[in-house]
Amino acid sequence: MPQTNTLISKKKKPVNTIRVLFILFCITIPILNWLIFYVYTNFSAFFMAFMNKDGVWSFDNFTRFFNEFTLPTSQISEAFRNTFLTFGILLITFPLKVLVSYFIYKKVPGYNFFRIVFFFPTIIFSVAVSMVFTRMVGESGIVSQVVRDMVGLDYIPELLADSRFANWTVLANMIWIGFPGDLIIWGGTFARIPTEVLESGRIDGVNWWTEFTKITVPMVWPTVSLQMVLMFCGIFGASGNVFLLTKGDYGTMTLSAWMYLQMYNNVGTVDTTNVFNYLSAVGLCITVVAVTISLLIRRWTDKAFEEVEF
Amino acid sequence: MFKNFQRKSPGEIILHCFVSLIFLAVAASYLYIFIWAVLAGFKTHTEVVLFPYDLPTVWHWENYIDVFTLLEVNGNNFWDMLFNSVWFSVVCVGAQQLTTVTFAYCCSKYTFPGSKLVYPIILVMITLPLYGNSGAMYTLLKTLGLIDSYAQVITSMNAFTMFYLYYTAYFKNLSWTYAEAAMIDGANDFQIYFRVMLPQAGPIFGALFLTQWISIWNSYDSALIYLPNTPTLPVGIYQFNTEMIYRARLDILFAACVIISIPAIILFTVFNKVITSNVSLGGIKG
Repeated sequence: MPQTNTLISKKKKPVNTIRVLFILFCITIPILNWLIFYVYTNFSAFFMAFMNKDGVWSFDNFTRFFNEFTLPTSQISEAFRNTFLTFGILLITFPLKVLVSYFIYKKVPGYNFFRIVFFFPTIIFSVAVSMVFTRMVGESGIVSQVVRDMVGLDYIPELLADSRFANWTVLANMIWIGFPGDLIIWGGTFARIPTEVLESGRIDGVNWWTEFTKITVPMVWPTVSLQMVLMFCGIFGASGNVFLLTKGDYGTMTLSAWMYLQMYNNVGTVDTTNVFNYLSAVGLCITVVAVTISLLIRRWTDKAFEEVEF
Repeated sequence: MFKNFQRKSPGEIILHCFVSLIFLAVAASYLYIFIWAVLAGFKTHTEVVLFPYDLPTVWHWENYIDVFTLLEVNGNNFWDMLFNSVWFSVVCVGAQQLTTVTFAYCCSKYTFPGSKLVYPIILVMITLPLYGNSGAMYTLLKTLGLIDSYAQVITSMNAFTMFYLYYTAYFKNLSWTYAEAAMIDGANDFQIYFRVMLPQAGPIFGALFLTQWISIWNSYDSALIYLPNTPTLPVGIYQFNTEMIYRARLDILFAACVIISIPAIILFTVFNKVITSNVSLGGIKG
């Protein structure tokens, strides 16, 4: 019946000026910000990647990148190796970090104390922690003395200024600082497990190991899955505290430190075009690989985001 | 402390004590770093260098006062840097969180052209990180005159982040009946949002604001690039440290580190419960 249809649509759509204004008020700023500082900058970086130092279209940046990439002694290939090494360590330590939150949730002796102190590396700012750490592993540092005795050197090594130790020292620093993991996210996740489920398990005589493997882990699996997905997607960002500890010297360079150092070393100088263009080209190459990885794990990602609750 | 042991098996008790010992060792190392910095702040510069592990022979309390006058970098004194720090942590994070919570509310409660696209776009942005755009970003900010500018706050009005997912989930679960009641009473969309809906999001807003504030308060990396001559406190400390070849005052440096950490420690300890009980990423299968 066409008549009623027009009637309904006439009735249904009075233009609500205030509502339109409200929606515009909510969305204008974020959308403009996104268009300018995300869409525009990324497009602009894409074009910069294909510009040589005279601003002419060319593949110079990519040729340079592949030459450096294939040369094992170059900073770029060192950065790739270290990024993958760092990622591997993050992957191995991931379950341990989850266990830290688990045991705090399980109220091990002193859990209230740990719940505060384990936030210290986040609260005390990283510049200070790195400065103290640098002293601990320096010439007169206590850690260096332990290393001397372990390795059997006749002098005290400066761990961050010695190619034999520097990279492992940066990684050790990362493991040490990151030991507590993401207490906020995991604390919240474990706290959501309904206590009745665990109680009834206990009444049925389930021991703690069965409880952990058969009840707790399966229940928090969506969060595990999401965190793993995010980790794989951010693989090229994997880095310890390279900038503050070594500035990428003594074989410690990672990709994110390299990109940061390109900015840090050059923003004050007169002509930054070439540096920025090369940085964009390297970034584009990394992005292509990252996108491939993301697409390969697409099904896993979709499932992870579907199942998790924020 | 041991009352939690009552219902645990012996094996579990042994495991928990063992884990607790490992935790204690790590916690002790964190505390040691902090105490070391506090003590270094009480020493003289020479003592910090020559006797880093001894107690100060004379306790120089005045170091913690001198920080306010001696910590100077490129013509910026402590109070300038404090102002910069407060501006770029409180105002920027506040702007970012307000933009995000408003945008998330609008997208979850209203339909407008493209409203269904926002969520998938943000998911793609989170799972497909783009690298190497900082050169383009710097060029853009320079063209807009935003390097070293307080107006840089507009770059943080960014709603396309992980925070969007938290707020969207929050509003999805929030009952719409209050809004309907307000609508019957003749409230318009602005009044419903600011008087009814936004106040209800207070706890999660506070929790996300605080976590983000702590990380920005302590961060140096983007400020070092985009605000080189408008240093925030962490940047100031970093530059003070690199310039120390000329005027060595490690005692002042570490005293400053301690003073700067105090606001974050106090806020974190006071609001610990708010932070840990409102932010969660869970998904319980059962």
